Amino acid sequence: MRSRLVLLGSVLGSLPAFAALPEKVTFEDHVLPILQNACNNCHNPDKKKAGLDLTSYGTSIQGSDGGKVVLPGDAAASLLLKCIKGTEEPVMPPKGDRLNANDIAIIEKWIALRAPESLNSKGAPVANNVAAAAVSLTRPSGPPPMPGASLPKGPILQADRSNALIALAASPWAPVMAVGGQKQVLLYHSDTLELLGLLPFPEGLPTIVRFSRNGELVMAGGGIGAKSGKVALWKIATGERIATVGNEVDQVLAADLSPDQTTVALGGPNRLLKFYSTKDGKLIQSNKKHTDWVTAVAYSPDGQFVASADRAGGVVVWEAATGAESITLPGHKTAVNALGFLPGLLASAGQDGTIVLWDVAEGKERKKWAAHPGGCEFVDFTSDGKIISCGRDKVAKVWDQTGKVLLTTQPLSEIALRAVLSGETVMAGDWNGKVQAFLLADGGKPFGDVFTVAVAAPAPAASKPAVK
Amino acid sequence: MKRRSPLPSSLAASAFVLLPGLLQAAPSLDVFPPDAHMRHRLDSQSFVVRVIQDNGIHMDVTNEAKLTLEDGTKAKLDKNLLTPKATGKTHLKVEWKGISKSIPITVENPELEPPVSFRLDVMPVFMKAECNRCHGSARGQDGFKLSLWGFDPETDYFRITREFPGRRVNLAVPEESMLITKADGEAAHTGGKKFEKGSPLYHTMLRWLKAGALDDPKDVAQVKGVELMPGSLVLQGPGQNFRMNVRATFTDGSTRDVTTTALFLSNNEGTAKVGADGTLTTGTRGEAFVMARYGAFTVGAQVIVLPKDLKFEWPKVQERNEIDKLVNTKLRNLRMTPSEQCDDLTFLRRAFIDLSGTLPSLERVQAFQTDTDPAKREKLVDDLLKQPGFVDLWTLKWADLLQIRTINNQSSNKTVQLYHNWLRDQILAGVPLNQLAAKLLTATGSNLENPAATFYTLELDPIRVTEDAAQAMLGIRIQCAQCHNHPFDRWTMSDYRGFMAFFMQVGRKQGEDPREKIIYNAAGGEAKHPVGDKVVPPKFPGGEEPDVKGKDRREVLAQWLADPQNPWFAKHMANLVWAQLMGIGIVNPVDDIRISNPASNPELLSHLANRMVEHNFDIRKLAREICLSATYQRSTRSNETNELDTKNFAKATIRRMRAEVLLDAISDASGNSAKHVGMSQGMRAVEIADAKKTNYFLTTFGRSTRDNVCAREEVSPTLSQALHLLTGDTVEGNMKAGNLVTKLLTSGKKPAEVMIELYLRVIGRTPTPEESASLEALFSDAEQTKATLEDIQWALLNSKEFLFNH
Repeated sequence: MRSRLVLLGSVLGSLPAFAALPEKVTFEDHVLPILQNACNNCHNPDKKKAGLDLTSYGTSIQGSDGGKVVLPGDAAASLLLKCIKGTEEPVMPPKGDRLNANDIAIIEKWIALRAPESLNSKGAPVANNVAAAAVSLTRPSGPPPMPGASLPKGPILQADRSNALIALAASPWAPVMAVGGQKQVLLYHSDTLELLGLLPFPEGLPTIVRFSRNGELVMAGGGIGAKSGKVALWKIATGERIATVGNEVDQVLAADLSPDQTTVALGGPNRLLKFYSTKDGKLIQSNKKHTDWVTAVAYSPDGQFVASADRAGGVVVWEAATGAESITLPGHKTAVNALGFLPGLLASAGQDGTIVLWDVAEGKERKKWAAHPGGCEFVDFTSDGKIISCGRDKVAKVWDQTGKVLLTTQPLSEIALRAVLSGETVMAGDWNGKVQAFLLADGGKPFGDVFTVAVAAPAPAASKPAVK
Repeated sequence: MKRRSPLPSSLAASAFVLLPGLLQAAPSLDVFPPDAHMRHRLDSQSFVVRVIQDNGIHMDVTNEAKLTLEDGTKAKLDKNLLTPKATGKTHLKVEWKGISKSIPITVENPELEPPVSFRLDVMPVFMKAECNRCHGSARGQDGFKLSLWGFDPETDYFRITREFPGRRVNLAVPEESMLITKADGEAAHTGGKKFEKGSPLYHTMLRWLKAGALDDPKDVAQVKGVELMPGSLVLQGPGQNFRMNVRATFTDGSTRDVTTTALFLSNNEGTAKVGADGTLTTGTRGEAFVMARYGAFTVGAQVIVLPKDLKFEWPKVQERNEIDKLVNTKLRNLRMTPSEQCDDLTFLRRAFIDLSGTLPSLERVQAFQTDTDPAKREKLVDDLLKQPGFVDLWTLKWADLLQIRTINNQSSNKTVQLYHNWLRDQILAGVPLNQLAAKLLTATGSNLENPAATFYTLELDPIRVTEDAAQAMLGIRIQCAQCHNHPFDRWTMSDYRGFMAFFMQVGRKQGEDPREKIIYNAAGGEAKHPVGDKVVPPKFPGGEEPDVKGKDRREVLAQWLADPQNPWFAKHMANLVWAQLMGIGIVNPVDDIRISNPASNPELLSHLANRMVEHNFDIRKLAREICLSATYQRSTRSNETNELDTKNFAKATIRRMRAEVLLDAISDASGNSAKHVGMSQGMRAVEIADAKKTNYFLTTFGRSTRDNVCAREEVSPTLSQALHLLTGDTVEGNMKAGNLVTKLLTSGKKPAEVMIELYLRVIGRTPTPEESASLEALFSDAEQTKATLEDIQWALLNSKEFLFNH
């Protein structure tokens, strides 16, 4: 024992004197952030160069095809340290700058301290608490769930300029819509355009927002590009965050909450479709099928199936209960940008400008039409079964299921990226981050001011009530 | 002596300075750039001060020199960096050890903040940080694609801002855009960190994102030219530093210091390494070509590195004409002494092989040896230029360039023969090369009546016709630019299509005779740009867009090509002639004129091109001038200083005779009149029109297959060549058919006399006393005399001295 202590002492003694070195160094708190920046672009579960995955504690300890890379307690003999120090081939990272001395010292100390995972040497406790919901295709009884008065309204981050609007959703039952901002989700009243509240998303940029099937929860997915990805769930009434799932190494690009609220399915640039439990945040399953970035995920409202699509045009339908592949729907030759799901009927938006309706039971294309020249960016079913879409032709359109156009909005200021129908209000957002409301019943007459969410004006329409 | 250079200004302007050091001149001072013009608040200009010391070595004295502004209210000077302060003019005074220079400075609108331009500011960042190297691959990298070396800014703009909205740029929090976080090491990036947070590249990118990631207005200025300064350097190594300066000129007339944004490359890092900031660091002795890339332009500078304290004295050497002067200037810079002049018999044999593709006959050798006329070398050259061999040799050369060959169902034996004969007639008549090229380009009608029309029947695809014409007639390979801007040259995809547009309206019809093809002007058909599918109008490479309305486009092209002012043709042709005579081109290979494959002596090439023009594109006159130079007449023996030289003509190049010439030489030296397949008795191998005629010897010895424009004759040795000479039927067969030894012996010659004659016939000299002594000893056995002499003949035909031109 003594010799080991001496060894430990000598290892620590040989460290350069960095004042910044924390006393306790753990994987979760100190090492993972370094690995995420420097190593995880190749050593992640998807690419797994040399069989090494450095995105989680377990896989890091497990090592590579060639054996262990971390020998807890013996930093000098650990291949991980030798490679990042450059004392042994392959020198890592292979391209770009090497790790700085401080980062190397942290990893060295971590191994010397016998590589603890986290402060209590157990994964961070998950505070998720999501109750299962009954699946129903009809409107729930009682008043529609609306944001309560307790939600914060002050912006978490206010910018001079808006980014492209890429996250927009409407509650299926209440006159409320959720818009992704910067590190926050904004809830607006879809009749008055009044800002109802904010949901903080410090994890980064929300790339997708969804309402739960019963309208009681808001889901946001996103993160920081090439760094981290998460999905969060809030109760709309209280603004309380009730779950955070996902431990991705890149932004979540697509996600959906199962109608029974037990599962979040998510995907992103790593091409995997992953299922997480909302109860404890555990990864249930990870499906490797897509050949390019996963760009869209949607559950069918009956909770039977979940569909996912990718940047190469692949569309796959999975059984929601087992995560097993049900059917692939070949047809799109270019990226699929969005999916909408009704029981038995799937809609996909193609970069080729088309909308395709698929008969899921038959696995066949039911209808296909050119919707938005230049590219269809978004498609979804409205709660009454219509189809809403928008695209590079700068307009949003509402269709019936035969592909007959019911409404074409006036052009937006840029490429129209998202559009939703909430009650009689069509809301569409564009590349400039501008959101415009139109009245479906009134031939698409615009109402309210055009507003941009990133500027996060507390109440864009407060001074000018909607004309409705 | 009369000055021969017709364009002295071009020589004077060329950056290669005569070494004053060896002439013990005073040090001279240069400032780069020689003037500055700043047009807005963010404009700046850095300066480099060079001193050429009296020993000829260049030094960067920017730090040591005293830089002062005449009027400090107009601009601010921080070390060597000038920034604008107030509109007006002033001068920058540069002084070093009593030598001074005054640099005019103009400042305009110092309060004006220019908008960030995607093309002018951001695209250079992708180049400098080398983003578009990995992401420029055909399928992009990790899901993100840019155009290779930025040839397609429009699509790059789309991909960055709109292909995947919300991901690559974040206009609300620009610092968090992946475009930046991937590059500055903030986020994981397979390519690693490309620039530092807070670096100028980072700020350019951020400024553009903060301004809303806007696209440029349609009329944004474009880069018109890029200058790398100084254009050439003679430095000491190792460990000497020299900073380079890069200035870009734009279509709106403005200039910009792009030293910090240009990408630097060196073709020889061991001799001159170049850092990202453009600072050179010298290494071992040698030559390097340093390049700067900005926009679609790549420009280069020649750098010579010499060891420290090298003892060298330039001896008195013969200079017969301007060629010698220019070659020697470079050799002096390199501290190389040229080899001595070769002896008469070496010259005789060399001139015969180079000019007429034959060996000197016995009589010629003997006559030349005894001729006492001091002008006998000149007389010999004049005589050889009139020989049919000269015509055959140059017909062969052009037949290679034009890829004359039979192709099943496309190019018949008859048309090939007609084409070849036509070509020979042109060379024989001394048709100027520019007119020859023009005749080919504009060839119209039946290829049976106008054999030149065969030019358009050997390749049918306009892509191939375009590429072949560029390579054969201009010496430039534009193949790369078909799909992306040339990575190491100036050619863009637009240049490619612009040149191709000249060949888009060539019409081809089948004649009645199956071998007949009729070429006509179809007057329709356009070249389309692969990016955007727009019609590209005809445009001369590196030149303007001519008016082609109602004209045969080929006529317009031919006129441009044949114009003495054409920047490419004369140089290329002069280089071809030089390479034929000197064994290596000034640009080598000769059909690869490229910025990154620079001429070893640009001044010499310009001079030869000028002479080509003055001689009205007459091969003979230029060849004469080259052959009479001291440079051509050097010995192949090297001295201590020029041992390692391969491309500066300090000594003559040893090279194997090309296949056709060698085959003829074996026949001639054996006293045989050969019969080649498909040709009549006595016709020479150099006269074979069709490269597809089966001939084992020619194939083995690397004749050009003429299958594509890159195919050329190959003179590198192979094992099969050696074995074929030793054991094959060519040497044996010719000796047997020529039966020379028997003939000579029966004519009453003594064995020793026969031996001398064999020596003279095969290797153009008499045996040395040692050779004579050891060989004559073999004649003691009278029974074996004939066999012995034949062995000697065989050995001579297998000797390197015979196979090589030296």
